Amino acid sequence: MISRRDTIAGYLLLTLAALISLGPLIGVVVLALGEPGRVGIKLDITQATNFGNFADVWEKGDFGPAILTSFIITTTVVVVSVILSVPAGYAFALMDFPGRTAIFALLVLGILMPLEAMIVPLFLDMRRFNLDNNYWSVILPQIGFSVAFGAFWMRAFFVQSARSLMEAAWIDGANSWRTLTRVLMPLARPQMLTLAVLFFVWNWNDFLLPLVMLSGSDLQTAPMALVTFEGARRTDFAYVGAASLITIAPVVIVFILLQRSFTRGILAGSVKE
Amino acid sequence: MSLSSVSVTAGGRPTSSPRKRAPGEPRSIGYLYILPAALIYAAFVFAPFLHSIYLSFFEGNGITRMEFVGLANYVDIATNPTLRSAFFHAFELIVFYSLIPIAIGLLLATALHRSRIRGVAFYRTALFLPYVIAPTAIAVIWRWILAPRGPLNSFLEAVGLGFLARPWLGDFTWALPSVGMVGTWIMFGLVLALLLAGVQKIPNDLYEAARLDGAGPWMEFRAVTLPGLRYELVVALVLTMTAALRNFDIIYVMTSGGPGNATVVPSYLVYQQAFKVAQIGAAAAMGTVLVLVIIAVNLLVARAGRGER
Amino acid sequence: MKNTTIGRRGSGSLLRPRSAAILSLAAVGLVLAACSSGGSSTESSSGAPAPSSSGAAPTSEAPAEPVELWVQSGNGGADALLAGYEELNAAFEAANPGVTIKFEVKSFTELVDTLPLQLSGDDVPDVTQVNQGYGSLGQLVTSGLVAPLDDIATASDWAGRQGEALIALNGRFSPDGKDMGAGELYGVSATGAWVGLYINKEIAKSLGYDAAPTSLEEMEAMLDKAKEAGVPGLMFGATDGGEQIWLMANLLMGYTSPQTVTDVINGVNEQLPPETLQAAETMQKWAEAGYLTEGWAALDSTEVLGMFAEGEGLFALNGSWNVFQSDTPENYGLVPFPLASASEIGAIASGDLPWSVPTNAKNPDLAKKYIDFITSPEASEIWIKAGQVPATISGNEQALVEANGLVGVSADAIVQWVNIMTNGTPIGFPDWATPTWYDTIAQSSTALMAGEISPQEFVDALQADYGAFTAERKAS
Repeated sequence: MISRRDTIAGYLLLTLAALISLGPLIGVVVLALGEPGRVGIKLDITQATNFGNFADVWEKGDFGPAILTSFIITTTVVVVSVILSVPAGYAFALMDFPGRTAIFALLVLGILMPLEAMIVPLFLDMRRFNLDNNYWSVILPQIGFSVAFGAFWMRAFFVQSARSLMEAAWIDGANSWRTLTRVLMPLARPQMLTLAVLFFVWNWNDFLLPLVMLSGSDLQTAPMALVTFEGARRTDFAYVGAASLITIAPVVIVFILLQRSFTRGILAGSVKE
Repeated sequence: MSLSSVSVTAGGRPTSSPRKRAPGEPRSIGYLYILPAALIYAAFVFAPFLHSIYLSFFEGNGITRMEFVGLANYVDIATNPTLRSAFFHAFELIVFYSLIPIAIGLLLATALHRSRIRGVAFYRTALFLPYVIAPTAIAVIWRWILAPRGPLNSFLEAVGLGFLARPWLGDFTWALPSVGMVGTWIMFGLVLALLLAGVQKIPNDLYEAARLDGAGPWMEFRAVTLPGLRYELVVALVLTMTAALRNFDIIYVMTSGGPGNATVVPSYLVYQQAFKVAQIGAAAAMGTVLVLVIIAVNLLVARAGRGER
Repeated sequence: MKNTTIGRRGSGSLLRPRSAAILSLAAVGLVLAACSSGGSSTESSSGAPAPSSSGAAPTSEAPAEPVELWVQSGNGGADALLAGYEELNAAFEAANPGVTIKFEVKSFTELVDTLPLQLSGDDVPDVTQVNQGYGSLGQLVTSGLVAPLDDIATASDWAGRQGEALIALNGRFSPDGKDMGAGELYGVSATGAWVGLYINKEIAKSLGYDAAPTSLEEMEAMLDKAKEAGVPGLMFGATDGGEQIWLMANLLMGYTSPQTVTDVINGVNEQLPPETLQAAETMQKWAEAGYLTEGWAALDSTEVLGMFAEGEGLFALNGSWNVFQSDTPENYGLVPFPLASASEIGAIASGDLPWSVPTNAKNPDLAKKYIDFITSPEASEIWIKAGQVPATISGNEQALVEANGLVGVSADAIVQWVNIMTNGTPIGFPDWATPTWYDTIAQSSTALMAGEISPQEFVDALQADYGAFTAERKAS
């Protein structure tokens, strides 16, 4: 059935698609290693040896503190959100309590809602309670958005695969907490990992929320540092390229290492039941 | 947060009712499990959302004066050409973020459905990468590529197409499509990977049956591939359309809505009105309309997906 | 800070790149936290050596003797300028034993956007920079958040130092904040900022010109020659909007007079002068004739000035605060934009962000003393040494410029400032006129110059914004 010609054509097409995806990024690597200053606009792979650009940019763009800030914010959000999502998804999936469906519906709404829809009052309220301009002003809303998806995601898993196990555990006399922590969570590890990867990518890349919340402070996240740096040194092409790479590096590394978990997350939506 | 996808496909489905609980526990114990997540969500997502709707009926800077103006902010959105154009731009971007990637994806997925590809992980990684990296970085990178003396124009000149070269992001006609093409670049790999995964799950007998019935490639596509990809298409549409309708980072970094108002989009206007000109109510109204549009679009897609069953 | 490098100085609001403004959370102003954060935006954004806040105890609780003077600047990113302030701060501390200065630096946009809220609190700086204009200083005056400085201004004869025109331009408001340019004095600038025509003398010579143009007519002839020779005439970058606004104001000044444009900025009439149409036509004509940098609509101000500094193009329109270093400084000059004839000199030339004393300041007298010091003739020497343009004219600028080895555009920035102040008429930045005018002009003029709208439509868009605000201001 599968002809050789089809397969070769398949490889060619996919390789072309992959090249289109990677092309601009490869271009930026060459750019970032080029000679600093305006000459950097000419892409010349033989000149792409200026590894010092990264150190310069790290220093000039204050990327050290920015990456640290991003890490503090993102890891907190990831850890807390996963920890909160699991029991919530568990309860929505397997427990019966009044208002369950309504609460779940409201929560799911949060997956659809863009941050733009609440950024204004969020900012006003944060400032009113003096929460703006610190880590929490970014972390708390990010957790709020993350658990909306997280509870939904974990619920889908528990609904599909945990019912009979849970009932068995109950028959053995385990209470609901013990059932979750001892029986179900070990099973749900891959799902939790997927969730963690998705949370990491989304929240690391988030720009509008930190832009609004941290603008009155010294704190800036990596994407903010990039935008600031690009604005100030737009004509230093090699530097701007290097700054872009510094900003995306953590996400790219996490993504490549945990590629399976990530794609499972994205593709899962289409899994047929 | 994107990935609204799953909500539509899996979430829309009612659960078979697990009317059970662990022995000796009250029914209400479920609240304890959802409480922390629900509280944070309510406080930092839902309450501000309601507050935003409330604010949209006022005019003022949010600090010293707020004046009730009824629906005036919404009337503005409907009548003011700049505000209205923001939504038209967002819809135009859907073509680039959604329709073109899906067309490409369908074409390739159909062409590839019979080939057996090894090294899927590598291709997937490459195809997903644009979707994973920060939009701000993507914007910075493409701003360079599209610059008047950037690589794109240099390339066009090198291959004798210099007459096509232009200041892409400063051109009233081309700025929005240029931003759109960036969206196409971000989305096409994701959509392709999604559809490829889907098409490989379509049982081969369906194709064989179609062929036995004398179906040509087009009929085969209509009768087998398209219905077989229903879920994947819904996911792809939801992901890409939501991204197209939001799209703050890219616009903020690449064009700030310029030249003139040629690339102004609703999310950018929310930011600009709230934080640059202190029109809190107008910004809130814009945000509310944006939510409604996003929800409406998602419901439409979900319904279409279900209807095709 | 995207903005701060170009957006600093009084002109900052003009240059505020829309895209950039990472800190442009205007509006509402948030910075309650600014009080607590001792660091500076310079520090976090550009790694520039930033003055530290030294972490001294709050003045109120400290024993009577050592006083901490809290000074807040909006010049973040302007390293050379900040270096000048550091030197002046040290001198002030030396002259006033027991006084320590806590010098806090913010980016321009951050400062402007957060001032109203910050100054309405209890914990406020003793001295702060503010931005001119109805939307900014005017608002602070209306709300009673800044105190008049007339007593010390009279005592130290500030008008004698800087000229009444400049003093009024930067700091005078009616106490209700409704009329700009007259009334009590609420702020004074330490350094000057003006917008002029950068010229590449070598290219000019190759086109047959020995000197900078002295009239608009001559300038157009030069632009035309440049075009024939295949040289970009005016290096122009439109994405941040500032250059269009300067160009419009300069052309309008050429077609009317500096005083007319000042009246426009101060909102004397509700109607824009009819010559606005002529200015619009010229802007469109220049763009369509190909006088501007190719791709101007997608370039920003910093970018094109960078190209100019590398030898590209005959002219550039930019601020004195962006003077650049060059290997061949003698090739470059900076002059006021030409007006109708050589006998007229006028320029967008205001002070940098004026210094004000908040009403709630804890040490108002010391604060005034500080302002008096940084605007003194002695301070001018320090400014010139730092390569900056002092707002206060001492009379021996030429000598100081030479003594400090300033050449090319760095020297011109100072010398021509004196020229404008003594022989010409300084005008303010056009965007002071209404809170939204900056965006209106920036967006409409890009459309105008790209041929998307007609000159008349351009004027109508400006008039709509201007007329509405001016009428409302007068009515209320």
